[in-house]
Amino acid sequence: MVLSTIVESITDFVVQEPKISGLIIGLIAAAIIASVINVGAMGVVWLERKVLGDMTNRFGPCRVGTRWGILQLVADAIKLFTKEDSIPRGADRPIYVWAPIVACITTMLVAAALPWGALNIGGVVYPLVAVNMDISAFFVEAALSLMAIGAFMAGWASNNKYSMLGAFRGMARMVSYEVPMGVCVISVAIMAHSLNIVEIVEAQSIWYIIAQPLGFVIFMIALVTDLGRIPFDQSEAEEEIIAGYVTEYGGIRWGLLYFQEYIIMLLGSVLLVHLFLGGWNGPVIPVISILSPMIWFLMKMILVLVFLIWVRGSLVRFRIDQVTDLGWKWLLPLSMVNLVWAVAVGVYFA
Amino acid sequence: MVVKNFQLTLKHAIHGIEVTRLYPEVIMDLPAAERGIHQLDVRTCIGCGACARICPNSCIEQVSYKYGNPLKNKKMKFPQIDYGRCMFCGLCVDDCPTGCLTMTREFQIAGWNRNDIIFGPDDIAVGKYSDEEAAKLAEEARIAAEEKKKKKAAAAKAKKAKAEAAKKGDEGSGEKKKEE
Repeated sequence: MVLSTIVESITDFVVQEPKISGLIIGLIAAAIIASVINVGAMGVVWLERKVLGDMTNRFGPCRVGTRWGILQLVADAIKLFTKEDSIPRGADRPIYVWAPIVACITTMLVAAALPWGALNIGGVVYPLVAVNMDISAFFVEAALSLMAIGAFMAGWASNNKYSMLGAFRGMARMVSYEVPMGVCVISVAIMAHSLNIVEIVEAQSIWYIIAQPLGFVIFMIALVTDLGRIPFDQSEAEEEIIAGYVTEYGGIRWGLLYFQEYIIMLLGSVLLVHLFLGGWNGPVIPVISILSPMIWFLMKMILVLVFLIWVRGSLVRFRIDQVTDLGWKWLLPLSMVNLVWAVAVGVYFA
Repeated sequence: MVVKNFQLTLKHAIHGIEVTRLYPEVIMDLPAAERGIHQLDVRTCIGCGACARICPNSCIEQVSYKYGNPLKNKKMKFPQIDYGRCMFCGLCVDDCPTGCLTMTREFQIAGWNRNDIIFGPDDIAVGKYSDEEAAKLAEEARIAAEEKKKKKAAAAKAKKAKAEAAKKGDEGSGEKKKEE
């Protein structure tokens, strides 16, 4: 009785004030997305430390929160929050302060347009996406490259040559790899006849990793570069330029910049899963059919994450000239070949 | 080359051998001659202070302690070691005439302030006497000391008497000499 009156009044309110209700729903969605990506990124950090520990014959976190060290990141966060907040004297104050925030806003922009799995309710699959845009693949690609702005702001404002060098390197890397990455996204969109990620996933009766393997390889390399992970972490190469653009940051500001990298890693793997690994597609699991797309999606995502960590554990850093060489001289022509392939195959099967 | 790298990390991840030791729970195998904190056998310590004299960092100080053996260590002074200064060279152990000072394999002596790592005789002692035993020994030592004192007094008396006798003899001889 009480419930029905509440539901009634809410529907009345939504009908009467569509703008305000839309705003409220948007805020709730934003809060959900923010918590999902932050908790997810915490999981990614934990996974990275644990798997990387295994690969280098160490234990990884194993004290805080059971023998698996689950609460290690909470302890780290408490430490970072309670650290002294210092800003270098020569720093460009407003830009210095805003750089981590811009970086985090970028991740939020990407997360809003990405589907976070799906639910199978009565045989119909409902994707869980905050903003279901027609051009979400394009939007995500564009928002991912905004990430370089945050890094560049941090590097510029720090008044430190190492920060500046790191920022330059990050920018050069981003410019040379966004192009092949974008071409790969275009190839996928051509095959799926849509720029909407949800529709791209639904179009993948054959996963695009099989339909265009070359595109997958190029996208993977470009993605690792975008994430700024080894072997493409020239912007914060510890052995060469201290910590790159985060050199002058400390406390929670550093924590945000660091955490943002892991959020982007999570988002990047989600994007990869949607574009090439068939998103939440997979055979329906009988008893828990409602969660079955979600399970497939999470399994694929974790596999991609572990692969990214494996890459980090196995490879060494390229020089910055090698990175730009690879981007412009190899990946860009190959991505063009892949585009032609995608058009040909797409037209043939369409 | 790239494939080899991937194989290696995968192998390491799978075989599950960790080279890290989980320190407080798992401690590395210490050598037999490990020089850790000291151990003092208070029953045999004679309180000579040789350890304190040889110590290059002067971290050993002779302090009073009541559960020792007063029959051997009459002043009841035993070494107290300041581990804040100690460099674990082991010279004190080498120089100990009775071999009562040895080094153990215990090395975990961290403290919150400097006074925490000054180890008195009580902290490093082994073979401590109980209160009764200590009292008994003290009594014995007192008796022994008294006896010795008596003996000494007697000896002194005898010596004095002897000296007087000798003096008399001397005087006698002197007279004799004068007479000659």
